[in-house]
Amino acid sequence: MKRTALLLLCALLAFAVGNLCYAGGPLQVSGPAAAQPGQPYVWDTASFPVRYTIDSGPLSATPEGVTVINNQTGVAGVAAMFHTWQSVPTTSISYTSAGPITGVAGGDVKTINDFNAVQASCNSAAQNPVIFDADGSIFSALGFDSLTIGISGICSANPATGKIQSAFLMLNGELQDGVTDPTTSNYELAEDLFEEGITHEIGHFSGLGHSQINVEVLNQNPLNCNLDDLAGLPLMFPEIICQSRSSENLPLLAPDDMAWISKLYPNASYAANYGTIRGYIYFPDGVTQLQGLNVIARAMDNPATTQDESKRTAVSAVSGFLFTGNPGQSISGTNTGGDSNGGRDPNLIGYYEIPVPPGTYNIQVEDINSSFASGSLVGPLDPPILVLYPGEFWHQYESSSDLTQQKDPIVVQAGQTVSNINVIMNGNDPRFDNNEDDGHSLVTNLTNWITDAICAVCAWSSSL
Amino acid sequence: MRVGAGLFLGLLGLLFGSAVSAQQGAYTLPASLDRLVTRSDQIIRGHVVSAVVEPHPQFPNLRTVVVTIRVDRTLKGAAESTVTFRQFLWDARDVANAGGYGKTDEYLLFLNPVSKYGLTSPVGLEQGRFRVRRDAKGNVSAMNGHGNVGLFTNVSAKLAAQRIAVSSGTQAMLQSPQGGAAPLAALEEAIQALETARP
Repeated sequence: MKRTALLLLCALLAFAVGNLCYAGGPLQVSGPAAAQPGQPYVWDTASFPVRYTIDSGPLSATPEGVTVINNQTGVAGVAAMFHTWQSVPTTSISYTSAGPITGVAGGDVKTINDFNAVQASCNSAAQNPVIFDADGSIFSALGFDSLTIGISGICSANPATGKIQSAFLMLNGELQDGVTDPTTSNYELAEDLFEEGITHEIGHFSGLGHSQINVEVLNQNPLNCNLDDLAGLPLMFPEIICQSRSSENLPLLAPDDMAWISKLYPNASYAANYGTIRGYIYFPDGVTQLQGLNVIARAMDNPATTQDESKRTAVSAVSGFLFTGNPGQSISGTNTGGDSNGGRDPNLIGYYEIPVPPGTYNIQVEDINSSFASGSLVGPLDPPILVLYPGEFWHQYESSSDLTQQKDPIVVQAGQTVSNINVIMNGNDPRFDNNEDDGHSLVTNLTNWITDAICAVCAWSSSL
Repeated sequence: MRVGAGLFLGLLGLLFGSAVSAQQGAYTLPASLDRLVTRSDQIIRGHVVSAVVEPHPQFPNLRTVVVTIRVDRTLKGAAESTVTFRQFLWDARDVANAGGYGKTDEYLLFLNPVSKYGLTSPVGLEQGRFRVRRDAKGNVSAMNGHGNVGLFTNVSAKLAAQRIAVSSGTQAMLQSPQGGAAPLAALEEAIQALETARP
């Protein structure tokens, strides 16, 4: 037991020095330099609509330079993808084209020289460029391969205000050029999946991180995922997986996507259409807050329908998502202040809040899938925390020894915040106790030593 | 003994856990191990000696990280004791953490051909960058930034079609349907087999 506790403690320390970014809701959270630490980085609503400039060249062209998707179609397609986010009825975020990209001849970014010029203006927050790399040559010049669908990045953000100041997006038109030639590594991607990929990137452009819901799709046939799982699968899920949503007549955005873009940028109708469930996740001791677990509010399934509403209507957050994953330490000499992002208020450790449409929900707590590290990160801890506790649901008599599948309904009205939905994880290890010991560990440790001694004697005697 | 092992593991965790997330904001097609091997110009395993963020010398508005690796093993490409490469960083968060290349970190890297502007990156970005982890029991594993999801798709079939045999341990790894850390030795055996299978 003591060994496990030590492992957990050391693992926590390891994770605590290891991360710079956030997800499972916001992409990035303000840090100590901010007037209000522990807040999601967002675009300034006063600047809405977010004005993006757009490439004047074709979206896609063959290696021979023949246009496959012209500029007009590309511009309209990008506008539609931005509109997908903007059209969420409870969000205020909006985007508009500010015309062609500036700073390059004709507004057509064709070379790495052009890209360099455009990056300068993005870094200085002069424009938010959307670049069409029609034949993939810019990606190639940058040292990428043809597997990259698109990239997005925040060019500049103000750590004092927690505002995103500029961002960019680049689309790889080579994947839409109609050419499949393995000898030149020229691949194709179905148009609807390309659209999903770029719309996902626009989610990051807008300040959204990754979300984990219905993670079991990772174990399903990727061409034929369960429809209930797919319907609730966030577009901001870290991996491309499953058949396209459009092929199943499903909307591009899942309830989780819509809830979080609305949470970051609520409009006047938000309060009339969303409530909030919030609380803490605790170690089995019931008092020590636990960071880095996925918390999902799942709608109660309606037995009168053939669909599984608990899969389809689900919104998630990661416990401690507003707290830093790296508070700093002075031992190594390289990490004194820790991450410049993320709040330091201890009350944020293990805290979650989930925006949900009015309804009746269950709260489920689970691990972040171990696959979701680095570029696929979900939540503040990279890699995800190694949790030794079984996933479980919330019920009104939470304890460290309750039934993990026992769950009580939580009714949420519009505009209502339901607080104190606190989940105590099950298990025998009480907490990361920072060397404090209630005696339990000592007894367990003594038991281990005795067991070791007996085994040693047994091994010795059997060797005689 | 148990406590000592636990502490040791924990310290290892502390060291390896200092890796930071990297290359956010990219959406890539899934790449199997076969595709990673085929697409890469160089496959190396080694430790990060340095990772320095600096502007591209020719394109000063492009932020890059110059990574030097002390090579322990070369699985594809010219064998060199150290390899230095320059990778483009497009997100401010990656600039802050040198693209996630921490000093002394151990990686297995599938690197794209270097462009004429001196830039390269792992194939499929995070998919071609495997973090090597060693535990106190001497187990060594590797996992890429996509958690090895889909990594072994069709690899067994390709090797079987070309009558290339691998050890039972490697075969078992290739049959595992899910992601998760892979034993380094088996992974490297599979890489060599796929390299042999290339036309």
